[in-house]
Amino acid sequence: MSERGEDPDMSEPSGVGTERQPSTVERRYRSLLRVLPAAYRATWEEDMVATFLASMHSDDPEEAELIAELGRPGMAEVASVLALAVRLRIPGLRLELGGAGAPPRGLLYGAALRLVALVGLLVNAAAALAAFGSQLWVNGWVPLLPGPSDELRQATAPGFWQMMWVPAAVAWTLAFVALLLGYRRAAQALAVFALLAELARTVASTVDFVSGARPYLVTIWAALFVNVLIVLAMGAFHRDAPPVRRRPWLVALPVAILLVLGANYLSLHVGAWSLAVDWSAAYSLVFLVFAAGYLALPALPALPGLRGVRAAHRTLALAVLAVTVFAARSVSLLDYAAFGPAPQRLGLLAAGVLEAVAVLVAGLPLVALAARAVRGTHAPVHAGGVYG
Amino acid sequence: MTGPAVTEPAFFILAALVDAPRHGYGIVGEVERISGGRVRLRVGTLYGVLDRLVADGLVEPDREEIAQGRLRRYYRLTDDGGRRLAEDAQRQAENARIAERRLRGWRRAATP
Repeated sequence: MSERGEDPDMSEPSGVGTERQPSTVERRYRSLLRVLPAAYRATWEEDMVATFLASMHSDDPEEAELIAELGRPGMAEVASVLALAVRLRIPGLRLELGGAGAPPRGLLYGAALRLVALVGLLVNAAAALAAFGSQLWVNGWVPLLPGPSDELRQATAPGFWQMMWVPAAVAWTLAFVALLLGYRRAAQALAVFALLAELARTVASTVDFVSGARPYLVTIWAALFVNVLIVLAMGAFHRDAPPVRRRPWLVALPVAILLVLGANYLSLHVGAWSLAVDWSAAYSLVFLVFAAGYLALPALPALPGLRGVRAAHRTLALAVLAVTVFAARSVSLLDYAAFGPAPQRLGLLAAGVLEAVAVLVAGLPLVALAARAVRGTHAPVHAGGVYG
Repeated sequence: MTGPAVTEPAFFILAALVDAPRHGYGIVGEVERISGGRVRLRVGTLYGVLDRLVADGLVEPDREEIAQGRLRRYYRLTDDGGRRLAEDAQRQAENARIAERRLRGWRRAATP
């Protein structure tokens, strides 16, 4: 190798990068540089390639030929380019999600994703608090209600990894509260922690399924995937994001808790049909109520409380939720088909298909409206604390 | 008004340009030489820092040459870059003096 800093191009061409056709090592390095934004590459790529090839230069013709044909950027060089790519792309991602100076479409995407994240956190926080309440009741610590049956008490005794629902539930609840209070980084960290706890629980449930201790599988992985999307959507809560308007969400939380408790109660009293009251069914029903109300808004009288409810970012958020709920409902039908109790299997499938079709029927106009809103985005979305 | 402290790679890149304009590979070599082999800049790191230094007006393109069919761009230190380098060198020297004073007392106390 030449001494660093000596000008390798002053010597006779010795292989690396001196042919008109790019060498293999040059092609590989240019491929690596494609992770960098196009605008950056337009300014710096040739310079970077020249410097890289100079660093790979050898005065030994045989070694130079080997490097040209078989050489590749080392791990340290790859890491430096990837780190540069991340550093360069973060401001761009922030712009795409409505950061300072974002174009109108970026503001729309950011506002919609933040609403999706809040809905997801609300559902998880409500489920968590309902689960805590249910556990208190199972343990006989709720004085006003009749206690659970022995069978139920035994059935709800989980194993160690299944107990991961506790830290996950605490973290989801705290993440929701932290976001409402404006602690976005804490909320994001808590959501990631909750997701990891959910992953541990999902893996444990999969092991239970394989050993025959658990009746279904697809639904729990679909739920984990939905939680991954929620955590990713929380990336839209960047430093330029407007504050969340707390009151609507604080009102929504106890309502959501009651709905979850109601669904839990129902599932305990329908016997073998309890699979029909699963999370996918609950998501579908709640989505249908909101979608129907939202789509019916133009036909309703112009009441003061309804003015301004219809907004591009809400339409886009509902469209995203439509796709998510439809996907979750559809894949969970596999559990019905494969594992539903034989006498109820057909009924469960019929109910599930009906729910999926209903979500599709409500979702399609929302998707069309959202696509039109995205295409027609010119004026900035009003993004001042309107999440509600 | 002094600017924020520069990172170590930026410090050495500015130092490498004090005596003459250099191209990318020349900067890499000079940085390694003046740091005694301690700082070895990868190309990704070099150009990430160079991009920032140019944007901040501390470094600017000097000239371009075509060598063996390949573009070679030289960079030089600006007046602002020289001032920033001097400020940071002074800051580091002051930090080193503070640490040395404290360590002298600590060494005396530690010696039986």
